Order: sequence, then C-alpha cells, then structure tokens
Amino acid sequence: MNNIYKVFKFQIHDFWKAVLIFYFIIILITSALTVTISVNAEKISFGGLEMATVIFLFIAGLNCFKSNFKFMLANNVSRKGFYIGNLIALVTVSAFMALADAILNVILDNVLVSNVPYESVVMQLYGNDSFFAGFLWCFALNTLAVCFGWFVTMLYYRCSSIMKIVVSFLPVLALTLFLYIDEISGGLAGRAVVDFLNKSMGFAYNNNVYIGALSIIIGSVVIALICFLPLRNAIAKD
Amino acid sequence: MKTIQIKGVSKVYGHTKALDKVDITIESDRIYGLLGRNGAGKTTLLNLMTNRIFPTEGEILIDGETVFENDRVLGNIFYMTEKNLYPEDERVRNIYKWIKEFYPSFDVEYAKDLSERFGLDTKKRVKSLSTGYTSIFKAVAALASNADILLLDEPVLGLDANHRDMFYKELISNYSESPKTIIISTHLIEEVASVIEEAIIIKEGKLILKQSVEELLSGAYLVSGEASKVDKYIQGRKCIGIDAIGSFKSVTVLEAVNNKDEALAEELELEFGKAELQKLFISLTN
Repeated sequence: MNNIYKVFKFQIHDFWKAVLIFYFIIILITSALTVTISVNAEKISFGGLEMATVIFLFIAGLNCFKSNFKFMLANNVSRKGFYIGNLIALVTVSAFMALADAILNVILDNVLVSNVPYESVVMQLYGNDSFFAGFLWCFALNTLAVCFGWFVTMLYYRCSSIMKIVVSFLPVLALTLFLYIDEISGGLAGRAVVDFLNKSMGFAYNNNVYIGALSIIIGSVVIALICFLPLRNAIAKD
Repeated sequence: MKTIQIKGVSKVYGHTKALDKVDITIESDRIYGLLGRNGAGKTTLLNLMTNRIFPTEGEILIDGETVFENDRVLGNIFYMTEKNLYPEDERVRNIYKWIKEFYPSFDVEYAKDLSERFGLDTKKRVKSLSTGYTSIFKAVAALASNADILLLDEPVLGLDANHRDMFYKELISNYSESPKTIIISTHLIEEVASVIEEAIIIKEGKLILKQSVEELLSGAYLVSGEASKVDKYIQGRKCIGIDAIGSFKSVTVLEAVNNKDEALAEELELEFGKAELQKLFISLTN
C-alpha cells in the first residue's frame, strides 16, 4: 500500500509540468481565438477543446512507462505496486483534466465569448450542456485515451523487433479484413458497427450522454485490466 | 536477521541455462564476493534475488518470505545494477530525494557528503555523468540507502584507482558502523579480496564453492625461490598459477602447510607466502 502511494506521487510529479504547459498553451490559443472573433465580429464558432486533452493524454500514456518502470525497478517496487500506483495516477490526471476542461467550457461558453458561439464536444454530440455530464463523459474518454496509450507503449516495450512490425500492421490488417467482410456481407458488418456505436454511445437512446460515458468507462476498465498482462513479466530493457 | 535462501533456482533463456539448480543460504551481516567468469550467471542470480527477473524453477526467500512481487521484503534490499535504471533527465540530488521516498532510511545528508567527497556534482543530470561518475552516483545511493541487504553488481566499473580505494574504504566503514549483508559481484578479485569475508563462486550457472575467504586461502600457499628448487619442492603436489621470471619461480600449492613442508622449504631455501584469491579463482573456474 505504501509503495502504491509512492508510485502515485512519482507519476503525478512526472505529469504535472506537462499538464501545466498544456493548459498554458490552451489558454493562449483560446484567448487568441476569443480576441480574433470579438474583433472581427464574424459569425465564427469554435469548440471541442476537450479533444486536445484526449490527444495529450494518449501521448502522456505513451510516455508514462519506460523510464518510470525502470526507476521503480531500481527502487525494488513490485510490478503489482507499479501497476496500481500508475493506474491511480492516470485516473487522477484524467479526472483533473476533465474537471479543468469542464470549468474551461463554462468560462468560454458564458464569460469570455458570450457573443460568440462555443460548444463543448458533449454539447455538439449530445446537445447536453450539463456540467456534470460533460465532466463525466470527458473523464471517461480521457481515461480510455491514457490507458490505451499506456497499453500501446507496454506492448511495444515487450515486443521483439519483428513483433513490433507485426503489431504495427495489425490495425491495418484488421481494417482491411473488416472492409472485406463488409463488402461480402453487403454492408452488414458496417451497419452492425454503426448500430453498436449508436447504442453503446447512447445516441440510440435519446442521446443519453450517461450511457455513452458508461460504455467508455467499461472500455477503459477492460484496457486497464489488459495493461497488467504485458507488465506482469516485464524486465528492465534499454 | 535477514537470511537469504536460494532454493533450487534455475533460470533458462531460450536454449541457454543461465543458472542450474542453485542452492545457497546467505547468512546476514557478512560481506560476500559473488565471483564467476563472464556469463557465469552472477547478474542473473542478483536479478532473481530482487524480483527483476523470475526463476524458471526454485524460489528465493528472505527470512522465510518469498521475494516474488513482495514489496515488504524487496524494501529491505538495495540493488546497485551495472545498468543505469535512473531517469536520465533527472538531477542527481532530486533522485536522492526520490530514493528517500522508497527507502525511508536513506540518509540524504550522508549521500550529499559522500558525493562531495567523491567530487560528484549533485546538480548534474544523470545523462551528463561519465561512466565513472554514474558508478559513483549509484554506489553513493547504495551506501546511503541503509538497506539491510546491499547487492552491488560491478560497483567500481569505470572508477579510477583513487576512487576505487575510496569506495572500498567507505564500504568497510559503512559496514562497521551499521552491519548489513553485502554481496559484491565483481571481476576485480584481488581488489575485493581484502573486503569480502566469504566467496561464492559460480561456474556455468552452477554453484561450485561457498566458503569463507580465510578458509579458502588457508587451504593453499605460495612457495617461491630458485626455479629448480621450486620444481623439486612441488613434485607430486597439486599446483596452480606458476609464475617464472628468469631463474625465480613462484607457485601456488593447493594444500595446507605442515611441518614436513616447512622443513623441506627451509632445506631448499624457499619462502612461503599467502596464496592469492585470484589464482585460486582461476584454478577453480578453469
């Protein structure tokens, strides 16, 4: 338990500078956009800044493993301790950034650009401007992105050079195979996927944002659990 | 008491058996030398003892508890690896602070003092340190950790003679002040001979000897003098490490000295000396 907290503390220490720089840039961009739109008084709208957070967290997930894992090994922390501590840190950062984005959305929507249309991703997708719904959906997506980044980096870390190439081509192969199946099934596969996404993301249920958030959370939990597999027997590598 | 028990441990990498059913009991508060030729399995054994890798068979216990994924047990061991596992972009002084998080007994002030004595600039980032100073940084971290068990894999790699001497003196002083189990894996056998109390010798993944250095050296002696007389003396005896310079010869004899030997040596005007650990090591591992 003690080591889990220490791993968490180290991972947060590793993240906070990058998060600060990220929000500094976001504030600069939004300020510049606000000024530009206000001065030009044109019918321009902007929104969906939360997606930048998702991309940032995916990259953060990609970078949260190798160096930190080696440092934890140097300090004789078990893989189990590292896994739990890192996971808690990733979820915490996802929650913090979702909250920061939700607050930023309120500021952009109501204070800074009251004369300019601004729409958050949740508003654009679900037509829901609830603070809590926006936070929850973004938190779920942030967690999915950061866990996926973590999983990808660990998968590459564990793979040999040949397996890295195989893993890199797998998504292309899967997509090609899917398109082929879709073609021979007369578009059935494609429709099934769209139907699945419609339902799982809550669009089919009166644009229910909570169903969407729950589905993404389930996806995050699955990826987070799978993350332990490549870590279980991982050793220090250059 | 931190007794390490290595029970029937084997480690296989593909078709290579790095360790083969190794059984060792390492008693607490002693300094051990883990010796072996390149690829003998020394680093593999140290990695297994710290859960860095996993045994193919067997188990490693510390005071009866497995080291496998056991944070509580692993927290008593500090392992200085040959490889650098510390964040390259972090400053040395910051790493000391972080080590303190994981090893609450880590003495930051002692680490700073040692760094100063070794001429290590703690404001530097790890990536900017030379090979020698990287070793010094890791050695300082190990000495200041105050862990019950210190595992040192090639601790003097890249260090100059002065720094090596400083390190061995500091190690002994540290051990005298606070006894602990220290295992040093090194190729510099003669240098470490005066430091270690017990030798563990591994050959091709198998344990071939675990004995106190004193006992080991008492089972052999060096005889030197005029070459023809030395040749006469060693007839029928098991000898190793024959060195000859001109008409002078010295030979390590693998047996304990008795009165008869002393009389013969006196008659032949030969001199006895202490056997060298390195010569015994070469003999045992060849």
